[in-house]
Parts: sequence; C-alpha cells; structure tokens
Amino acid sequence: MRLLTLTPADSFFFKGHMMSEMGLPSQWSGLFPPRPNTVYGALRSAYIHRFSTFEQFRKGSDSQIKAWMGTPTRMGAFRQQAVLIRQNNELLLPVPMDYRIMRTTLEDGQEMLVADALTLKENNSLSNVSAGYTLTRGDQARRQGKDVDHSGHFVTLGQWQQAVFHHKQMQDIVSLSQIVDDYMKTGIKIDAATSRAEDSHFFQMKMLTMRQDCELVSLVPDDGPDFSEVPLVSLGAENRPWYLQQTEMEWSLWSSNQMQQLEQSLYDTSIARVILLTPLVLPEDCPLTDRDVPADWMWELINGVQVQLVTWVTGRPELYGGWDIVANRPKPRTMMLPAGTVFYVKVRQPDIPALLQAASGFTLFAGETEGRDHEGFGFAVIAGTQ
Amino acid sequence: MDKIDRHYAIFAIGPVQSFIAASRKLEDLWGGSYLLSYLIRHSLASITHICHERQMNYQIIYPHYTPEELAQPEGPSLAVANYPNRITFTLEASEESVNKLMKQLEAGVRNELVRISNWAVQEVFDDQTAEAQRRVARLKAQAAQQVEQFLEVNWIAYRCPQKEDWNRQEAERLFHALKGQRPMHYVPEQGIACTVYQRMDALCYELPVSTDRYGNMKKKLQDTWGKRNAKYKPKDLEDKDRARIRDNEFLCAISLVRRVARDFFRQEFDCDPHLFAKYESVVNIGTDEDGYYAVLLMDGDNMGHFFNGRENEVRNTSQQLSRFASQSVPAIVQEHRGVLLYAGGDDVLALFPVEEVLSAAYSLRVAFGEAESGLKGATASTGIAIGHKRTPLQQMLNEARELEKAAKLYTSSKFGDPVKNAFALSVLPRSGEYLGPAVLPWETEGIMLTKELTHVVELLSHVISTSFIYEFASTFQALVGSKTDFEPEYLEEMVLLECFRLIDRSVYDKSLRQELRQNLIHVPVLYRQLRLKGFIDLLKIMAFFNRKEKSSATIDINAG
Repeated sequence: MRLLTLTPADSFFFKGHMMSEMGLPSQWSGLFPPRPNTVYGALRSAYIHRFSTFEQFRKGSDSQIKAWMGTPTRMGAFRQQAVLIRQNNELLLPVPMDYRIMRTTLEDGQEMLVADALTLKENNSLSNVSAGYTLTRGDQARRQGKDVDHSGHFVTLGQWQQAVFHHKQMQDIVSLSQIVDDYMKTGIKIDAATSRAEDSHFFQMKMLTMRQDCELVSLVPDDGPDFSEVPLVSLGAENRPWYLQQTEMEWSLWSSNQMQQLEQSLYDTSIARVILLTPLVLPEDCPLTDRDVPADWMWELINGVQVQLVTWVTGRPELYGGWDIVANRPKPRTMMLPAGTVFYVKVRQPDIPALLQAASGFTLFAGETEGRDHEGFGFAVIAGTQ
Repeated sequence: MDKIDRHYAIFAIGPVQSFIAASRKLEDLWGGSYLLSYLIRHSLASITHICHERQMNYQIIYPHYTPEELAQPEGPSLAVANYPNRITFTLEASEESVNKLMKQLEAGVRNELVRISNWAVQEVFDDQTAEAQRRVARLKAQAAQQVEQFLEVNWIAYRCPQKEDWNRQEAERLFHALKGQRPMHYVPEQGIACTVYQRMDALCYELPVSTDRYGNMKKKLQDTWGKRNAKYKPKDLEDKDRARIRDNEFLCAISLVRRVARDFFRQEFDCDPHLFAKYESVVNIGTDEDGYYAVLLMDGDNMGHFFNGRENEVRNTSQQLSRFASQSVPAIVQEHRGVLLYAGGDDVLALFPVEEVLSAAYSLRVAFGEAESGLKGATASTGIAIGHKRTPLQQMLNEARELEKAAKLYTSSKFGDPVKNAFALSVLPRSGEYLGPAVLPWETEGIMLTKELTHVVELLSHVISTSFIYEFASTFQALVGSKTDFEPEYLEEMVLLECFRLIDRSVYDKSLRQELRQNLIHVPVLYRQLRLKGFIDLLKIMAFFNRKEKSSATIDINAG
C-alpha cells in the first residue's frame, strides 16, 4: 500500500452542501474529515495538472492520463482505498459503533472519554426494528456516564486493533478538537455608493487549521499511479494548497497470531463483524435500504462469499453529493452510512478462508456503486466476536 | 383468548437537532420545537383514545399530563412547546394488541405531519386556478415524501412478566440499543438543496432533468417560489428582508412547515391570533431600541438519578417536571418579558431582553430545584449567549449550546462545590470581539453570583465609570497565560489591589468611596472563580450590560 500524506499549507474549509447565496445571512461550519471523493478529485486534478493538461484530459488524448485518470465522463484505473487521519505518525481510525462512547468522571474529578464494547443480544421485544439481535451495554458498559456521539471520535490504530480484537475498553479517544482548530472568518458586502455594509450580505464560515503533527492520508494501492513528483494538491473550498508526500507502508491490520485467533473465532461462532473505516454509499435497490431487511437475504460480501445479516449499528446518515463540474450542476445527493458503522454477519464455514483474505481491508459493494468504491468509500475490515 | 401481559412502552420521535437547529428565523426555531411537541401531544391523545376504545389498561409515566389538559389546550402556554420528544407508558394487553397500537401510533404521527405539510403547500402555493391545483398536487407529493423520509419514529414495547423495576431499566437499555439500528435509506435528491435545511431538495413543481444545468434548475425554483402567495412575499422592495419567505429562499417540506407553522396552529386551534405573534422575529424581544438580546438554554443536571427509582417515583418525577415545564417556566419567562420557545421536562430554551436574562436564569434555576415549583433537590446548568439582533440565529443557538456544555463541565474542587450546577455567559458584540465564556456557579461561599453581577452592573451604571475596566484590562492583558491553573498566588493580591485602586479613581462621587468598598466586597470571589482572563472578560461583559442599564433610573448605592 502507498500512503499519500496531505498537509495543509494554510487554513482550509470543506463546504459540504451548503448553498451560498448572496443576500442571505449565513453561517457555515463545513465538515471534517472531507469526503473521500473530495480527496480523490483533488488528487486526480493534481496528477493531471502535473503530467498533462486539462484540455488533453477532456479530449482523452493523453493515453497515460486516460488510463489512470479516465476522462470527464469515465473513471480511470486510479483507485483510492481510504482517506484517514494521522497524528504523530500513527493512523487514527474511527471508534466502531458497537462501542459506547461516554464521558466519565475519574476519581480525581477529571473527565475523560472512554468507549466500552457492546454485547450482542437477542431482541425479543416488539419494536420498530425487525432485526432478531441487537447490541446492548454489557455488564462492563453499565457504568454511569453521559453518552457521546461517535462522530469526530478516533483512536490510534494500535489501540483500535487491541481493543477491537479483545473486546476491551478504548481509552485515549482523540476528539476532532485535538486534530483541527477553528476560527471564524467573517465577510460582508460593501455598498459602493454609501461605503456601508449591505444588509443581509453577511456571512461567517468556520475555517479550520490542522494541529501540529496531524495530517490527512490517502491509502492507495501499490500498483497505482506514482504521485512522488506531485508536490501540491488544491483541496477544499477556495482550492487551498496542501503539500503532498508519497511513502510506502505495510498495511496489515491483524498480526499473524491474531489472524489465527480470528480464524478460530469465526469457526467457533460463525459470526463476523464488518467494520467500516470510511463512509459507505449503498447501491440503489440494495436490500439493506428496505425498511425491514429481508431475514433470508444472502449478502455477497466479497466475490463468492455470501453472508447473512444478523444485526447492525450505525449513526445518523451523512449527506453525500458534490458538484458536477462537467454538467455544471449539483450532483444527486444521497445518504451514506458513516465510518464506524458495524455489521454483524453470519458466515458459512467454507467461506471463512476467503473472508480471512479480506480481513485487513476490502471495499464493500465494489463495482456496484458507480465508481464510489474507486473514491475510497466503503473501506471495511473483518473482526471476530466473542 | 390471547394472553394479557404487562408491557413497558417507549415511543419517541425525532430527529430533534435537525428539526430545531437549522433555523434562519425565530419562527423556524419555534416552528421546529412546536411541531415536535405537538406531534407528541397528538400521540398522547391517540394512546388515550385507542386504549379507551379497546378497553386496554394503560398508564402514562412520562410526560405527565391529564386527559383534560390534552383535550383542551388553551391559555398563553398553548403556543409553548412543552412536551418532550418521547412518551413512556405501561400497557396491559396481548402482544398482538400492543403491536397493533404501537404501529398505529407510528402511522398516526407520520400521517399528521403529512397533513400539516399538505396544509403548508396549499397555504403557500394555492390560488384556486387549475394550474395552481396541478402545481400544488406535485408539490404535495414531493413534500409528503420528504417528511416521511425525515421523521424518525422509534418505539419498543417490552414485556414485563412482573412489575419490577429492572424491567423498566432493561427496556430503556434495549430502546437505546435499537436506536443504533437505524434504517439505511437510499433516497437520492436530484435538485438544488433547500436554503435552510441542506439535506433535502427545495420544493419545485418541475422535476430536474438530466440535461439541466444549474441555471435551468435555479430558474425552475424561481418559477415555483415566485408563485407563492402574496402573504409570503415582500410587501415592497424596501421590505424584502422582512418577507416571510424571501425572494431567494427556496425551502424543502421540513423548512416550509416550520416557516408556516404559526399560521397552521393559529387556524388549528382557532385561538387569539396574537398568541403566536411573538414568535415572528427576535426584533420583538425587549424594546424596539434594544439592539441586543439573550438566548438562554437550561438543562437539568444528572437527571438519570431521578429516573432510576421505582415506577411510582419515576411517575412523581415526571409529574413534577411537567408542572415545572407547563406552569413555572412560562410564568417566570413572562415575568421577565421573555419569549419561551421550548420547555419540555428539564430543558428550557427562551429568549430574553439582555437586562432581564440574569435574573430570569436564576429564577428558573431556583424554581427547578424547589418542591413547590419543580423537582426537589435538582440542579441545572445554563448557557446564556448575548448577541446582536442581526447576528445569525443559528450562531446564537450554537453559542448557547456550547455555553450550556461549558456550564455542565463546571467543577470547583477548591471550594468543594458540586460538579455542574453553574451558568456560562458570553457576549458576541457587533464589533466582532468575543467576550467570554465566563463560567460561574449559581452560588458560592453563600453568595448568589447572578445577583452579585447584577449589582455590579447597577454600580457601573451610575456610581463608577466603566473606564476603569479598560484601564485594568490594558494593564493586565499581557499577564494572561494559557494555563489558568498555573497563575502565581501573588497575582490575585496584585490584581485585586490594582482593580480597587482603579475603581477608587473612577467613582463619580468621591464621598461614596468607603461605602462602595462595602458594596464590592464579593469581587474577589468572582476573581477566584474565573482567574485573570475570565475576570477581565467578565468585567467587559458587565460593561456591556451597563450600556443596557444606562436608561434606568438612578439607583441607591446600597440597593442589593
């Protein structure tokens, strides 16, 4: 795997889908981390700018550009696995949603965030959810504390691996405020005649600055295009510059010892956890979008490996969309499942070896989401249950 | 015959934040809160009706309202959102009957919101012409789809073989767990996003086609919204900012129903039209001359403790909270010339004239913790954001929310005070300088701090010149460190000595100096709570308050 490290040269802002109309007082807070497609698009543009021209890209006349980056209407072979955050040279992964994050008070009066693993439990009650199982607080997680939303909470890769593998508590949870700082940028429109601020032409946007030792990283396959000679990427609102650096890295989520234990756990329980590390836009007509997911639906997780959905835990859906530069109009917007979403699936014993092959990372619904899997959506890993 | 079992049921609607937070105008904010509250009241009435009709035993645990209160809403509190977003109740019936009732409740609440959205579209776009009929039909269909997709309804009916409290806790635990299993929608929106709530398309009677570019799509929207009725357009060019729906505002169904909710409920309740008028604009808060107003957000502390008891204790708690929300809060807000937007359970959201907000905040806090008006022994934390009436409402709400969180994090181990139970205050002046947040306990060392602040403001108004604050700030600003915990001990003595020296110099009537010292005896307490930076900010905040006080009559220096 290759790592494309992106460090902002200045403050930045990811606008999301907010409409900026002159004449309306507005306050925007943007979003962070950016959607994978935003980073994908920026990397694609930077590569074209460095090695060719946009005119050639439009015409499809440069064969290398066409092969890697495609054309305005078609994607090339360039593929991004995921967009993650790195702090002090260690990757941060979203806290899985089968953990309950809470603010708790320690004996010395200090407040801290901890995340306790939820337990799979049969759902015998009448409810608006049809799933036969749910994830509740086990004895360990019955402690008192205020629940905290998963959005914007991460743990280091090392702690994530240990906690998820052993169903242990997560501590040292990193909040977004430890990754980015913000400040408010204010704008007004001056009336040329009176030199006074025009009414209702006032806007404020929350600009972000990256904290020291933090950076965005894009995981790309080893056999992808070479970005080592691309020094800068224009990323986010106002096309602000980000420094780009390419390095090689070993991406292996589980150690060989853990893989053996994972295999054993899958044979013992037949239940696997599929944990999303990046958001997922579901394909159209996917049975997961049915109000009641069909109980007998067999989900082809990866080529030939079919599983049965036991239960899931997800957060409030996030908005996916963007601006279609070619058509000069907003792209159709839809909802995506946030990173950290977890599916519990029942696996068939003969499929376990193939499933283990994908344990360190694969893309859900690859080839079914109109290129979004190319952009780094739906990057998931496999873990066992207890 | 089917087996009759006791069930513990929870029925909740949302999303609360999205319904309320994305507000451009006061009426959006009120409309969102009120719609949720209304839908819960509608569901409570449905439970009562269905259970009576089918002779099912039921008992509402939370919120506590009598059937009479539900059936005949009237009086000034009619326009106040004072129902929380969930209902808990017990039911004695067969599993099949319970399932049927819960599904009926869900369908009822969804249908009711569709009915309101239909009314809103009709009200805004219908002009009785055949073309308008077609247009309205198309918009109603789009609106119905949007409200159906938007509304989250979660419910559980947990079978309790015995009347034991652990069943209730188990049901609550399961309910929280099931909320994590949200439906996974795929509902693509193809057009231009709503100006207020960006997740949904603005309503448009012509669907966008694949060849449309942005300009065409915008034109379709302008055509649609250009046909809104005159009531929702600017009266003239000068008045364009005051229009109910501005010329460049394009709304989705959710934003539209919030925007016209006042009109809907005025007609629905057939009540005094002035009852809903105060939710028109923040400009109406205080006097016309007031440029500033305050947003107050209060939330009870550690409420889980009050709901962990036995069922009858929980019902008592519920009754007390309902009384607080429906009686105590409206009375206090009215007394302080405020506008009450939401009072459900332990939550309060209200807007006040600046000069009233400290006193109102303290009255609400006291009422909340007293047996006669609220919940005995309960404490609450409050965020108070003060800003200009032209500050975007969303910014004010976000600020109040942040302040409430800051108040919740208040701890003062040094004085042995409990965690939380505090208020946080900030000012967003038009100049752009941000003052605050000043986080203070309601009371410390036997001193009522809101009263103390009010007293200092009064002194600044007529006895001391505020110039001392700016001199003091310029002297000590350079000593403000990033880590307040590491301020040297000697700093306090130095700061207070200089503070009092400057105050002495700033007294208008020098003969009052000695007396003034007595009046400012508690100032060191404020310093110890806030340390240097917070203290400087607090003085500036009080100087800001003083501008509001200037018009009031001369006060007696000894007035408490």
